[in-house]
Amino acid sequence: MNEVPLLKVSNLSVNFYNSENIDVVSALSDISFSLAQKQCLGIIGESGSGKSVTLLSLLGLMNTAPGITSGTIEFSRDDTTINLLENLDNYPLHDIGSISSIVQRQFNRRKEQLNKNFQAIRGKQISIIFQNPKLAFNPYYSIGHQICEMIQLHTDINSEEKVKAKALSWLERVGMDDPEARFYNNPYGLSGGLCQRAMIAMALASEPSLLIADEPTTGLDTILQRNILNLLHDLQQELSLSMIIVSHDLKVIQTLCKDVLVYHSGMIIEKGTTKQVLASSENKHPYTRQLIQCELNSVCLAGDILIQNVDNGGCPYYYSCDEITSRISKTCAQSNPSLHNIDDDHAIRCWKYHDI
Amino acid sequence: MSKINIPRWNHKFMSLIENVKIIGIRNSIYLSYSSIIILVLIFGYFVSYFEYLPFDPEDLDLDYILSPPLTDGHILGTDYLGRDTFSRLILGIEAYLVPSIVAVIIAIFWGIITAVASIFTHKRVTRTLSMINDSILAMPKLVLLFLVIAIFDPNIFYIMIVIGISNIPSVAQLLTAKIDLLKERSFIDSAIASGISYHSIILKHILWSNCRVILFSQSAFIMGEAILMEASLSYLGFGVQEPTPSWGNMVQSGSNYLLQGDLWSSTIPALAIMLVLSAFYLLSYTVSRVLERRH
Repeated sequence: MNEVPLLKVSNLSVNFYNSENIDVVSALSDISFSLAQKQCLGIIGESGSGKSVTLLSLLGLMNTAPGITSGTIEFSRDDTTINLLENLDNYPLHDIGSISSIVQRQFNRRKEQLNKNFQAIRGKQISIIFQNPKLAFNPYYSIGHQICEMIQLHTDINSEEKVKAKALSWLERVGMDDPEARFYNNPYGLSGGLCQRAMIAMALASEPSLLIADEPTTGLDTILQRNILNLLHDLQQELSLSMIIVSHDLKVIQTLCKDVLVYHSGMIIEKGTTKQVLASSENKHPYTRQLIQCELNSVCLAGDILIQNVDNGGCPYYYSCDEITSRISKTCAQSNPSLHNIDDDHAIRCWKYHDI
Repeated sequence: MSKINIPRWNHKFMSLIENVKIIGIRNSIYLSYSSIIILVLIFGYFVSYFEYLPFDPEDLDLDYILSPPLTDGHILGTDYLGRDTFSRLILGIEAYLVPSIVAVIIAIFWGIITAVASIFTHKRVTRTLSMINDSILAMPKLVLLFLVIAIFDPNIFYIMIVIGISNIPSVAQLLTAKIDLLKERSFIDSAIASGISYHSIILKHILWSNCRVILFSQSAFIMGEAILMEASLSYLGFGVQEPTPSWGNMVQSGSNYLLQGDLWSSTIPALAIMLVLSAFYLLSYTVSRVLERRH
């Protein structure tokens, strides 16, 4: 693969303060992945594992201090690569142990710099579909108005009639039953499925090269889920989009994505092609195995998976893991493994696959 | 296949009856009442501006002192010096209309700036602005007015500037609370993520689309309050001075003859004040009810 990847994230770390602002909580640590042109990448994991934070970081929407602390996000278009986290090192965050006025000031400067960097790609190159489409539309404007706004902002179409015709064509393309009438509907006048379709139309109206979907099918019934997924799949083929999909639903990932990342407690614990990760029964992280078992049996085999072994620096999955052997148990309790390549594209973060 | 006719709000001209059906009969009665009164006010302002008055408002006519309405061309009667009440009422509009608009503009403009600045800038700015707001709120309005009148002349514009400033905190507090709520909503995140610039988000998606209810109803409310303040100060003798007519000093001059049975010269300006005030307060009430609907 000599082709330049569309998006390359390396060593991304994001931190938050806890509720008393005296302690730093790691939301993401050392996230690295890359996304080729026209590739579809799935992200799965439990809630709170940092999936949505990753997506928000890709658009520079992290609004809490200290936010992104290190890493690079490289976005390529037309043979030029820009680092979206450029110049952030000009405002270093020394001593982020607890929030102080110095940290806050530095953070505000970083946020301004981030906004400046990201303004070039927001909407124009990367679009996002939010979890709850009804809340993601401005309730006081019609959906047509908001789609037209995107078209005017990001494409060369100027005349009002052409913009409206384009918006109608997008509404038709995402399968609205009566685009002419829906154009004037406010988001609260639409059903959940129609609203999700309108959201997809708005995200695609700016003709981006990367579409990010944050759990696009939660809250919809099974038939609608299937419809929306088919729609996303068809649109991806037609427009040769790249896509990142976050979902709790393994079937969604299986149908849509070629590659998949498994998240746990702010880290990628397994990455590889969907076939390797979700189908083969052999080499797997214990968490992924449990995830698949839950999906199949509707029964969770291990105990409380919320207890994480963070305090003494061991593997976060230590207390829930049922595959610890006597060979590795000491290492598991004391240190966190690194991602270990067991195949060409397949990497797992587990001591089981390391030589100790 | 026949298409179902879906009611549409904002793209096609609707007949009057359709509009009434949408906003409700009570709201449309209120709205039409206040808009008629406000149109009459504006018309009266221009009539007096171009001096198309039936009588000279400062012309004494001692044959017709304190005459009731409809005597010899005096439609609304005359006052204790025989001056035509109708002409003086029309001229009296000049005393408060433009000054109260100034008060409204001051209150709304600085209210918006205060609210937006206190939310989208640093904590220090927020704290300073809220301190200023609290100190304005703590000052009694009437004392502040008398202070300004004592320092400067009893000019109506100074009074209105004070009224405008004293209304900044209420507008700012309402807006701040609303914007604080909106800021956390995901459509703002979605707007940022789709590359809409920050000033367009603040002006269009926050202030215009979501806060215009507050802005309109507050401006009508402040307008009513400014008119009431002007009338009360003129009644007390601190506002517009005789012989220039204002509705407040007309009520005052007529009230000396109230107990002798000459009701008209003081009740008519008082009624006019009541009509105009109720128009503005009803407008404030109805605007918030009509615009708040998520059609």
